[in-house]
Amino acid sequence: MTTSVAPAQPVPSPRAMRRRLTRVRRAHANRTWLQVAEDAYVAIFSLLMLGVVVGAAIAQVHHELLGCPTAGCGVVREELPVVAAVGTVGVVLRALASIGPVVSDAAFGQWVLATPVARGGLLRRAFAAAVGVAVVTTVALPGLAMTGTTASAATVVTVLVGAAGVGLLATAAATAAQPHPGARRTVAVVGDLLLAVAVVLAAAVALGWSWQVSVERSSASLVAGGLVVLGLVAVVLASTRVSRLTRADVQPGGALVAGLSGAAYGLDPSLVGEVLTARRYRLLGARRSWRGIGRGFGAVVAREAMRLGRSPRRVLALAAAAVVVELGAATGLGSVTTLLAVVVGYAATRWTTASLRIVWRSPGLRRALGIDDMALLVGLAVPGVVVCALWAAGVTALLPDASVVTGIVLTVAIGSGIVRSAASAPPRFDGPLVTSPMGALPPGAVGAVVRGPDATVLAAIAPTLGAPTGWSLALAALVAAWVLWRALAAVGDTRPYSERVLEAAREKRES
Amino acid sequence: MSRKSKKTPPPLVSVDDLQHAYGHRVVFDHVTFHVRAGRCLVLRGPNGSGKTTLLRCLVGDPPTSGTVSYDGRRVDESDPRFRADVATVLGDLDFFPDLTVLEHLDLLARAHGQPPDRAEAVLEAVGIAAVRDQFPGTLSSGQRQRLALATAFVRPYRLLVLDEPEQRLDTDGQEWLANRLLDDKRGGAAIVMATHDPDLAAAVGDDVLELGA
Repeated sequence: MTTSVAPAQPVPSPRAMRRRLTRVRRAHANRTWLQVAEDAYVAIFSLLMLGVVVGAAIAQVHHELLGCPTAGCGVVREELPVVAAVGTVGVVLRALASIGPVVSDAAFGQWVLATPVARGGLLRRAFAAAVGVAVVTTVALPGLAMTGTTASAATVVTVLVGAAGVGLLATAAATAAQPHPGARRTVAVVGDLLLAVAVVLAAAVALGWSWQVSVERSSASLVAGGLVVLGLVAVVLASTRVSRLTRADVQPGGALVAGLSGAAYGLDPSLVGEVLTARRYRLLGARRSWRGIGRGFGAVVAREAMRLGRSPRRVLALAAAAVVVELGAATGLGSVTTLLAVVVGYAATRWTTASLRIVWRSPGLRRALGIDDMALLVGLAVPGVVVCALWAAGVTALLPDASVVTGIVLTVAIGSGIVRSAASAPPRFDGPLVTSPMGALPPGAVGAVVRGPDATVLAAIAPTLGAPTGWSLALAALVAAWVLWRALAAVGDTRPYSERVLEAAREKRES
Repeated sequence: MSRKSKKTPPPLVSVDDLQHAYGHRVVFDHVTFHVRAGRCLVLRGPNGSGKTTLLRCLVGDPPTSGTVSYDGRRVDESDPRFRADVATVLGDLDFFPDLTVLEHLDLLARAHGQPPDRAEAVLEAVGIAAVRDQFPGTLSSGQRQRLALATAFVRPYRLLVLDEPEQRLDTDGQEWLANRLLDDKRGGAAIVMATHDPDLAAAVGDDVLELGA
């Protein structure tokens, strides 16, 4: 190589690069049109089914809210859009700051972004996708919440237009902040603050507070229009800065999205959490180590408690979960509030058994720890169950008709669910796969999604149906015992499938 | 008779008082060096001494403090001129799963404005022409390393940054690599290389920076 790096021919444009990549990839296509149509059919059918289920659930809630005569319902109906709007903007800001918003996968970054081809053109599509997702999210969720209000169509449209403007501004701000770690942290903190405000507002609504804000329609339209114009200008300005983004700015987010997609595709919700956690600590880099306490079983419990104590932000999620339950109670859900409480509590406390999940899927780790499996299971689960108990106690205190038994059932139900989801056997990809409309899946793959919530719901079914106290406690205890038994069975034989088949054949020969 | 003063060309790469830390753990600090065209700087040090981190700072990762300059300007990875001038082989190469080996290199050659037949020639030179039509997922680790090296040699560069390039190469490959780097150095390229191989360091290196000492 020489001191001159003048290219022999012009460096291609971003469009030419993308076209070339697409052309080369298409040349490797090995699926017939019939196969593509089959895949499209399965995808559309699955989406339709999901849409029908989710739509029916939303329609049912909507119907209940509209028909509910209590004053609490009225307050929730009218004030929920404000809570939804604030919370949605908070979530969008948080997500944009964590992921990018402009992202690139590793291969594209290393093979295409590393070349002299104009980077702005290569990244503009990713930027446009981020804008689209942010705008759709900031419009859709508050819009959904507004369908339960008595607002006129014109008011709804004005609010949604304003929400779109906010979505544009949020994306532009996050893009401008992307190259600067300090600015990114600020955007993330603003998102967290908005989420906290949303939780406080939701709590206020649940307690029956409402705020009447009346704005002249013309002023509101002006503000909404102004937000959109400002947002569009900001987005245009931000798009000019996209060319200044470095690979180090865009590749980590791309790796995160790829990891999350893989986890979702593998129908493994716990893996989603692990991907996010792994990234968080990789970015943190290092932290002062805390010395452990005790020996053996006690040391495991103490270390797990320390780990939970290092996540103070999760308290916000627990508080938000409690507010959701309180909101549900305020809208007159009655005994169904218990079911809502266990489901929401499960979602909010699932993270507490992350260590159990890692240890349960690692024979090497269990061997290294040298503690009996049952003791290990209990030791790693105890701190998480304590968190469940504290949360359940708080929620029970807030609910008007709840008793100590309700609190115990909530604790056992949620605790059983989070232990079951963490300590179940993962899908085995090394053996025969099962044919399904979704393609070839390993046995247990679909079950992995419901393993956890099934125990939670089952343990809470008795009080939901108004059964006597004794039955509620007995069923919860039975479910807990079953979960422990299945958890111990899950660490049975973790050898590769081929080894197990050979062993079975050898035993058959010898017998 | 007056002596003609020999003008030393300015350094291509200048690193001044560089420091990098992960959290509270300082990986290296007070690192200062310069690399001129036609010279090779070898980074040596035990595992965890910061060789890879330092190389990444040279190609755009922000250090905790200090400055890295290329050709008199602060390193800016988003600058197309920097990307045109600097080639890297840092051991973290990912691949498009649906592009063959040749298609990867062809894409890169075209993106750098090089004639497409250059990709074939480089594959031949690095010794993986036989797998040109295979997808990267089927390559051995040694073949992947050769493909990674090919990404540097398929396009022109003024600065080459390498992290343990001799890894997973057989003895023939290591000998080829040393000769290739020597040729490029004679052609005026600057090289910064981290290596544990004393033979490669002795053959190609002009200056040595010890980290973690």
